Amino acid sequence: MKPLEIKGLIIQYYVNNQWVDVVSNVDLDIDERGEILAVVGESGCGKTTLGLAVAGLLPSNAKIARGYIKVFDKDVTSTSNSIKIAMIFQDALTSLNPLLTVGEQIAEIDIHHFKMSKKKAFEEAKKRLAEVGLPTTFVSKYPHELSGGQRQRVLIAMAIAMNPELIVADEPTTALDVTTQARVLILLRDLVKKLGIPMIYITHDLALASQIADKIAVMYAGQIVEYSNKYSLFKEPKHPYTQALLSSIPRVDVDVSELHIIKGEPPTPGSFPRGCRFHPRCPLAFSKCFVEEPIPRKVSSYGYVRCHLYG
Amino acid sequence: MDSRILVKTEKLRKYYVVRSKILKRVIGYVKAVDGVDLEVKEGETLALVGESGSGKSTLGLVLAKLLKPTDGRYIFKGLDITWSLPKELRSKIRIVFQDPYSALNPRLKVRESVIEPLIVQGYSGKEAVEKAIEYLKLVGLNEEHLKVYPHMLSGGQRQRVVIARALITEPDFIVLDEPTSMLDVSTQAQILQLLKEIKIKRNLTYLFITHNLAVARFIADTIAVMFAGQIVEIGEKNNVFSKPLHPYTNSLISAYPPPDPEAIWKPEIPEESSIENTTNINGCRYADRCPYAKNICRREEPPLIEVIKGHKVKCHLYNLI
Amino acid sequence: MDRNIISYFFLRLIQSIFSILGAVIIIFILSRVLPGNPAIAILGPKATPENIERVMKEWGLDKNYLEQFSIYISRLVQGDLGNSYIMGISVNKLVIERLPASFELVVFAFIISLIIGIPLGIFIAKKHDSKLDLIFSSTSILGFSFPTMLLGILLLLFFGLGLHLPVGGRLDPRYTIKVYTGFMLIDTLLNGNIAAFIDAFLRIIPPALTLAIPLTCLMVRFTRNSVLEVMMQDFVKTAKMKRLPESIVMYRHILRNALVPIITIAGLYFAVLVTGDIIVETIFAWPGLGRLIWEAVTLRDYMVIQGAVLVVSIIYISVNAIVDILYFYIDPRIKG
Repeated sequence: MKPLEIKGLIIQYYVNNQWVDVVSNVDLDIDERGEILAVVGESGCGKTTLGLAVAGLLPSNAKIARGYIKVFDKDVTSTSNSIKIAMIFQDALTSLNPLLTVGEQIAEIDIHHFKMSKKKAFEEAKKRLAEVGLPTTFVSKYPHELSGGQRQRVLIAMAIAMNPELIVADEPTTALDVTTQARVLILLRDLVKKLGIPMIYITHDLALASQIADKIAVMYAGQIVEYSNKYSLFKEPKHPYTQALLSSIPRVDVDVSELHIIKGEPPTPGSFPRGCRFHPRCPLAFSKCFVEEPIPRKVSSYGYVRCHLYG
Repeated sequence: MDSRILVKTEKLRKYYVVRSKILKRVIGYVKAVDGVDLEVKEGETLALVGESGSGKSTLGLVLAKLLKPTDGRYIFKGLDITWSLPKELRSKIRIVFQDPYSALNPRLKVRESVIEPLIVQGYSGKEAVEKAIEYLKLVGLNEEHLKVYPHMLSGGQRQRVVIARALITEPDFIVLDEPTSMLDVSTQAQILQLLKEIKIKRNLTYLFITHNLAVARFIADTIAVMFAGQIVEIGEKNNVFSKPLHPYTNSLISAYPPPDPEAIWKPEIPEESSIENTTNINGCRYADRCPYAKNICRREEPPLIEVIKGHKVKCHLYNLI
Repeated sequence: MDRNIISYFFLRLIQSIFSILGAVIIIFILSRVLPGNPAIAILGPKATPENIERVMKEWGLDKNYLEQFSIYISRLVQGDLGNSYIMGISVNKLVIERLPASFELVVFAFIISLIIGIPLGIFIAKKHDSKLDLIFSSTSILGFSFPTMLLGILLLLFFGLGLHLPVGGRLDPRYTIKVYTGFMLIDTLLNGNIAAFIDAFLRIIPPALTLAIPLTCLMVRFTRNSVLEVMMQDFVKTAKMKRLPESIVMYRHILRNALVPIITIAGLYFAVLVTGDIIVETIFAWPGLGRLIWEAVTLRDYMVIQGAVLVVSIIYISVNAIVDILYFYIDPRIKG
C-alpha cells in the first residue's frame, strides 16, 4: 500500500468556453511514510494545480479528466472516503482567517474532527504550537500580530493537527526572508520525518528541493519530464530541461561567471507545442521531437525521463 | 585607486516618522537608512543585499533621487546632489523596479512608454522612435514590440522594456531594485546575463539591490550587506563569500541550500527576533540576534573597520569569530 | 478594556459632535435661503406690510442671521428646538410625537432588507456561475435604481385598489389605542387588540416595502459580491482543507469576513432610507417626521424644518458612529 500513487493524471481547466489541459499524463508515487517528493517547475507548469488536485481542493472550473490519485489505496476524488490530506499554502497571511485567533483556527480541527471539547482542543492547540517552536501564549493572538515566519509555523501546526495521511506543501517559504525560510523549512522537514507523514513539496527552487526531498519530479508544461531520486537527478540529469535548469541558477557556494540560458519562455496552458513540449527551447531537438510526443522511459533503477534522446 | 568614484555617500540618513494608529501622535522613527557611507566606482556593480526591512530599497530610492534623505551627503560625479539635482544630471541616474507589471502604464503602448523620457528631454518624435528601436534591440526585443500593450508581453519581456526605458537616456548610474525577483528561474538567467552584457557595452555603473545572495554573487563586483539601516559588511565579492566577517553575513550565506544533495546544509541561524524596535539601541544593531554578542556589543556601536584592503566590517568581534 | 478602544471611542464621539455642529450650521443656512416668507405663508397673500413686520418681529426674524443663529444655538444647547411659528407649539413636542412613527417605519423596512437581502445574497453567491445569478443580479440593479416616488405610487395602487387592503395612515381611526411605546405594532399588542394589530400591520407593509425594496436589492448585490470575494480567498481554501463541515466554512469563515463591509454599507444606506422616508410618508399619509418636514417646508416653518432635520441628522450620525464601533469589535486588525 503506497502512501501516494498518481497514474495517468490529466487535469483540465474550463477557460474561454473550452477544456484546456493543465496537467497531462502525470505518474508519480511516494513509497514509504515520511518520504518527501519535490515537484519542481517554473510558474505555469501546473505544479500548483497538481498539488490542489492531490489535496482535493481543485476549484470548480477544473476537473480530473483522466487517471487517478490514490492515497493509501483510497481514491482522493471519491467523496465517500474521508482521507485527510493537509495542505500548506504559499502565503501564510492570506491563508489564515484574519478575524479568528490562532488558537481558534487550530482548535476547530479537533473540535469538528475528533469531537473534542473546546477546552481540550485549546490544550491540544497549545501542544501543536510548542511542536512548531512557538510559545503557547500564541493561541490568543490574531494572525496580523505575528511575523511571516510565525504565521507559516501556525500553518504547519494546523496541518499537523489534522493528523494527516499526506501533506501537500506549496512553496510554503517563498514569501519569507532567507534566514526565516531556512528555519521553517528545516522544521517542516524534520517534523514530517519524525511523524512519518509523507509529503509532496512543490517549489520552483531546485537547490531547496535537493536539501528537503528524497525524490524530485521536474515539471514542464504540464508534464513530468524527469523523475528520479535526488542523487541521480543532480549527478546525472537526463532531460535537457533539467540540465539547463541546473546550470541557469546563480549559486552562493561557488563563483559562476556565466549562466546557461534557456531561450524563450515557458508555454502556457492551451498553447503547449506539438511533439515534445520542450522542443522549441531545446538545444538538442531533432526532427522526431517536432512531431512526436515522447513517452516516459525508464532510464535508471528509479524513475523515468520523457525525452526522445533516450528512445 | 585608479578608477574614479561615481557615487559617494557620507552619513546618509533617511528616517520615517511613526505615528500612533488612532490619534496620529508621533511615537518614534524608523531609521530606514541610518548613516550609510558608500562608494561606487565607475563601471562597478555594487550589490546591496539584506532582508526585507533592512532599508536597502529606501537607500536605493534615495540614490535614485526619488526620495530626499533626512541627513547626510550624496555626491555624484564629484557634485553634491543631496538636496538638488542639476538638470543635466537628471537623465544620468535611472531606476528599474522589481515589478515589471506595475512599472509600465497598462494604457500606453510600449512605444509611448519607452520614448517618454526622450520627449521630456525635447527629442522629436521621429528621433525618439529611432532611438527606441535601437534600445529595444539592445535588450533583445525588436521593432514589432513598439506597437503592443504591456499585457500582451510576458514578465521577462516587460522587464526588458523597463530596462530599455531606463537605458534610453544614456545614464551613467542605474539603481536596479530586485529586477529579477518576480521572474522564473529561466527568465531570471536571461535578464541577469543581459544586464551583465549591457553594463560592459555601455560602460554603466549598477547599484543592484537584492535579497538573493546567489544573484548578488553572480552579478556583482562588490557586496554590501545591510542590516537595520546600516551597512554591516562591504567588500569584494569573493572575499565576502569565502571569508565573511560579520556574523550576520555568515548566517545569510549559510541559509542558502547548496544545489547539491551530497552537500550538508547546516544553516547557522540565530533565534528570530524583531528588528523593528531598533530605535533606542545604542550598541550594535545585531546584538540581540547575535550568538556571539558580548557586553561591549550592547553598549557601544562598532565602527566600520577595514580589515583587509576594501573589506570592511561593522563588528567588535570580527577577529574572535 | 484597553486604552486603544477608549481613545477610539472618545475620538469617534468628538467627531460625531463636530458632525452634528456642522449639520446645525448647514441646516440653519439652508432653511434661510428657502424662497418665500413664513409670515406671508401664515397671513395669506393679502397681508399688509405692517402686519408682516409685526409677525416677523414677534418671531425674531427681523434680526440679522448672526443674531438669529446665536439665539437658536443658545436654546439648542439646553435641548430646546424652539417653537413652531405656524402650528404654535414647541418643536420638541412635535418631534417627539412624530418620531416613533418614522422610527417604526424605517426600522421595519431596514429589518426586512437585512433578513431578505443578506440570506438571498449568500444563496446567490453560492450559485454564482448559474443563470439564477444573472437573473437576480440584473433584477437587483433594476430594483435599486427604481425611483422611490414611482415605486410608492405603484405599491399604493396595488395594495389599495388591487388587493383592497387598508392603506394610508398608521391605524384605522376606529381603533382607540393606549400609547405605551409609540410603536403601533407593539402598542396594539400591548392593548391586546389583535384586530388593530392586523390593521396596523397591513398599513405598514406598503410604505415599508417602498423603502425596503431598493435597499434589499442593494443588500443582495452587495452581500453576493462580498461573499464571493471572501470565497476566493486563501483562508477559505485552508478551511476547506481542514475538512470542516460546510456550514462552519460558510458561517465561521466566509460570512464573518464578508459581514464587515456589509455592516458598513448598511449603516451608510440607513441615510438613504431616511431621505426616502420623506417621500414615502407623504405618499402614504404616514404621520412621521418625514411628513412633518414636508409640511414645514411648504409652510416655511423654519423652526420645525431645523428641528426635524437636526433630529434626523443626529440619528444618522449616531448610526454611523455605532457602525464604526461595531467594526472595531468585529475586526481585530483595526485595534492594531
